[in-house]
Amino acid sequence: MTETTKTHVILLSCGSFNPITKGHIHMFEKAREYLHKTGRFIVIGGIISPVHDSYGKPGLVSSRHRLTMCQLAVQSSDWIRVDPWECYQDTWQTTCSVLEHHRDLMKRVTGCILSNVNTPSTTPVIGQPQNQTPPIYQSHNNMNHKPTAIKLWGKISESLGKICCVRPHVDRFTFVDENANLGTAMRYEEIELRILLLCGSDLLESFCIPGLWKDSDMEVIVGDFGIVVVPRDGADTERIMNHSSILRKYKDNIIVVKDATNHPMAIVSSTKSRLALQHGDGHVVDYLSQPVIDYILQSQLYINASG
Amino acid sequence: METHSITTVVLLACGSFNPITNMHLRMFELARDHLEDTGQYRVVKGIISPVGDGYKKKGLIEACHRLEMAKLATENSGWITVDYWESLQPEWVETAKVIRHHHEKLLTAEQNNDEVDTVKYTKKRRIEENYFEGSSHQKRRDSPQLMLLCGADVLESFGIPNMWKQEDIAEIVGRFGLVCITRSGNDPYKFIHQSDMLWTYRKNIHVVHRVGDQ
Repeated sequence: MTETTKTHVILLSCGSFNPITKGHIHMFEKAREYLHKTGRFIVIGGIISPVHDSYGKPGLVSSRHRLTMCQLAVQSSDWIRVDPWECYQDTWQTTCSVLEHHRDLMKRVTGCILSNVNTPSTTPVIGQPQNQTPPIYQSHNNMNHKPTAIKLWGKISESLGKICCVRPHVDRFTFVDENANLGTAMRYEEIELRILLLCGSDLLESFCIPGLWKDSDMEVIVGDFGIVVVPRDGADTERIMNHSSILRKYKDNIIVVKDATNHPMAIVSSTKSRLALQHGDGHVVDYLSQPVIDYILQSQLYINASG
Repeated sequence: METHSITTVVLLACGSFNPITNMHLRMFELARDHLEDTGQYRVVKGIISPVGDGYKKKGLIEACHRLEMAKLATENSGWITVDYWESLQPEWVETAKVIRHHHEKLLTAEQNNDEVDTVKYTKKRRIEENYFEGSSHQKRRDSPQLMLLCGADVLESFGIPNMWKQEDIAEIVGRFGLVCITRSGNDPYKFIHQSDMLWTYRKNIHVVHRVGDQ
């Protein structure tokens, strides 16, 4: 499969990150590895988006600290970054609105139209998967039949190529039409960019809790965007997905990362980390990266039992 | 869904410009792209304000040369201009004062625009102006937001003791705003998060990441 047919992905993870653990980073790395292994995706970036302070979870330390710790945890990563947008808003943001914010921002930054998973586009734009018959210009044999159409497609692609900063690869080839006119057609590499929500099976499970999520939000998150789930401790994702009609409906948009459950990182959690810190348990070095531990000690966080 | 209005912005860059380089110009473009990509701003003007000779930095060549070079560098730009005011002052002018000067200048420019109207319209406008005389809201909404354009080093210099007056920092980030161009990933955020003052005004500090330096 060539690079042209792969989907470029940005993994977005929302959560408290209270604190960020080695498990969170492992989740990103495992997801990227798995997506690459399927041969269908190229992960071009990861975004950690800590939740706003007004989320109201007991024991949630100030976003100032959580953002700083996240940054310390990814300082040596060349593809994962921390985004403070959520924390900087006046109030708590729904997961749905965070996904939409990043999509709209990417749209403006790249000029690309980010594909919705299930919505095919009727207009030829960069980023839409062509899952019907291949475009006529791809086959030299068909070219003599509709030279005008090829030239038109070439012109559309050219102007789209100008507004899109993701420089698509261009193939130029000459052809001769039925009137023996020499022409040049251009074929552009199509780049499909998607933002996928990255999460653990606990978030997936929470979709099944009645009243916790708005149905319309779930439709957008799973239906329009898509989810990558990295299951942790023996969670049965099949059973979870069968429990919710929306998850069942958009089964194809849920990618479950295999082989993640038996890794030592699978048992790490923020809760365990906080408890370890409160009890002076040395195992905390297995859960949190050293710069994060140093920051926690220096800022005297998580000393008191809470959450 | 974006139902908010768009704020027009003027970017002001203070510095030695000793000499002005392509990176200085690129800074303006990066800042403009970043702000406009948020969908909330429209950058209408960029001002380069080279420091005066009174700054007494080692190796600083005369302002007249630095200004001329900056003028040459921006002569083909449709939106970036060079301003001489700071360099014409006899003594070094604090950044906050330079910003305040340009802010006043922008306000006056807005007011002068009203006077360009033909006679037919001035009567109507005078009535409107009297109506809004009490509140300056109308004028403030129409005049562009002035933001200081700088590198991460300036942001970090806010933390150096006795370098800046606290009230000046508060004014710069609180009242105006900062666009900070950085190469080093999220380090500016680290600085913002650790400073009480900067944390308070974090929404007015726009961090732009430089990618792929030439």
